[in-house]
Amino acid sequence: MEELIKEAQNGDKNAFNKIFIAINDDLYKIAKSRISNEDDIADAVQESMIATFKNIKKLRDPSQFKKWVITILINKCNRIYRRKYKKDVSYEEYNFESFSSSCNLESNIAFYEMLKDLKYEEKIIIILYYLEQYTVKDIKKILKMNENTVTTHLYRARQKIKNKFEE
Amino acid sequence: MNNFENKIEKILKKEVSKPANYEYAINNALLKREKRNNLKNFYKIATITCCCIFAITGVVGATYTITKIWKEPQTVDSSEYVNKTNGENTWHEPVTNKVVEKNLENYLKTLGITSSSTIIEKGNNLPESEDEFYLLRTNADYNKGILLCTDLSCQKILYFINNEFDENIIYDEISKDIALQNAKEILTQLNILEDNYELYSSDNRNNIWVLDFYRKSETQINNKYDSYSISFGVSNNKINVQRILNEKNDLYSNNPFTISQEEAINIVTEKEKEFSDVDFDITLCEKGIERMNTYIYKLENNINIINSVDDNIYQIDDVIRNVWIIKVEHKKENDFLEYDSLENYKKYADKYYYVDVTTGEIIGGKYGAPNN
Repeated sequence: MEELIKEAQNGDKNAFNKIFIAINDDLYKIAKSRISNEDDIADAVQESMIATFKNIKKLRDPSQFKKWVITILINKCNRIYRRKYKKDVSYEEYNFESFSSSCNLESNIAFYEMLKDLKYEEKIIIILYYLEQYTVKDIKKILKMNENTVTTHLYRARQKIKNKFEE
Repeated sequence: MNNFENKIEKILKKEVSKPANYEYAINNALLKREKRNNLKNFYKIATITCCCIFAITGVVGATYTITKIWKEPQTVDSSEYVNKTNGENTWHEPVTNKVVEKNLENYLKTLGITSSSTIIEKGNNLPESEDEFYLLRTNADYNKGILLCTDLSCQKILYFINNEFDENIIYDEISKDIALQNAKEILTQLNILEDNYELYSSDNRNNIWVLDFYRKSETQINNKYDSYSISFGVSNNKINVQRILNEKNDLYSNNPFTISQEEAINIVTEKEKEFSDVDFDITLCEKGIERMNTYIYKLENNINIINSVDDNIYQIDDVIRNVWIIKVEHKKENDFLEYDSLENYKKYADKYYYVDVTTGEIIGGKYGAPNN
């Protein structure tokens, strides 16, 4: 992956595309935790790719590439969310409602069922912690939260998932 | 990792199916550089930004007899509330006044922005308010380019938004002192930083600085409802301003202090005892300026404030008062017990109370999150 990143930094678009094809599943799940409209998800990921391509030469440490892309994607998703879906009431309810009806694959169902009842912060932290294997410190930087808040959300999310598994 | 965590990881790592348009977007991102034209509602942006800025006319009695501030909230369905501000009374008309044009363009020059084409309009801001402003923009689309809004004298900037500011480039790393210096320089050049505005908070995210300046009230309390916020990044020694926002309104009552700190603490102690039989300490008691809210009302009436699915909005008078801010902290082994149920929340959650310094009423509060 680091080789591909270096090639992309030299302007190789094929290498750049290969990187994103490799991580597109993770990016999809991260975007899905925030916004449910498929067109908006495609937009968010596409805009993140464009932003990444524009600035990839400034990235000093290729090992931080994915974290950087994820941070950009989360910001893009938040912007889309705020622009289109923000209301004065609690925002948790806009999200996973449409998922289960469109799921066919067992893997999709398991993913969405597990995360369905979580708040956005809980979903994204679970994804970053278990899927991306980031530490609490990494997550606090990406989400701009303090460490205790991340830990609290992680605990609550685990409890909810545990209850779900026991149903 | 234990079995439970392994299960979570396994589920997350399984690939999920994605729609065809997503795959297409990934494969063609670099071929298609133009962004999709997502429409923002400009009147919603004006409503959200300007209702924090403009004065709402009201009459406050000059003599302070002790009249109650808190009234029972009116319950409104959330869909009604969202539809309330529909912008039908707003208007815009083009302006061709050379003096106005020159004044507004001078502000842009101060911000290091040159634009060959600008559109200047006069308009009002909200359905509820008649306040008028001038708005300069550099793009026919309100969601693109620069927006600069001033009062009709062109003396006061109400907001500045640069829609072309790129949050994803890597800005120069600068210290907080330098950031503060830069912010003060810009705000002074724009005639914004009057007396009594002091730095209240600063935040740095990816070297984009956000600094908030609050005005001190006559009683020397920071008033976050009379404030300026500026966000910017420095690149190649040039300050690129993302936005400048002003919040000012006439809702602040500047009510006099008749309730002592000790009396306020007693009021809060009695209220907290209604919610909880667990030992607690008062860990903070300071003067503040806060907006009335329904936090304590909801606890009193067992309205679920955790994982809320309540579709109602509890409308109260929009009032900003001098208060005693008092924090209650409970002794507990486990910080997370409070989230299990509303009952445990009331019993164990740390809370901030706002006690009106004139009437002694509890007019609101908020959750006392750790490190909050």
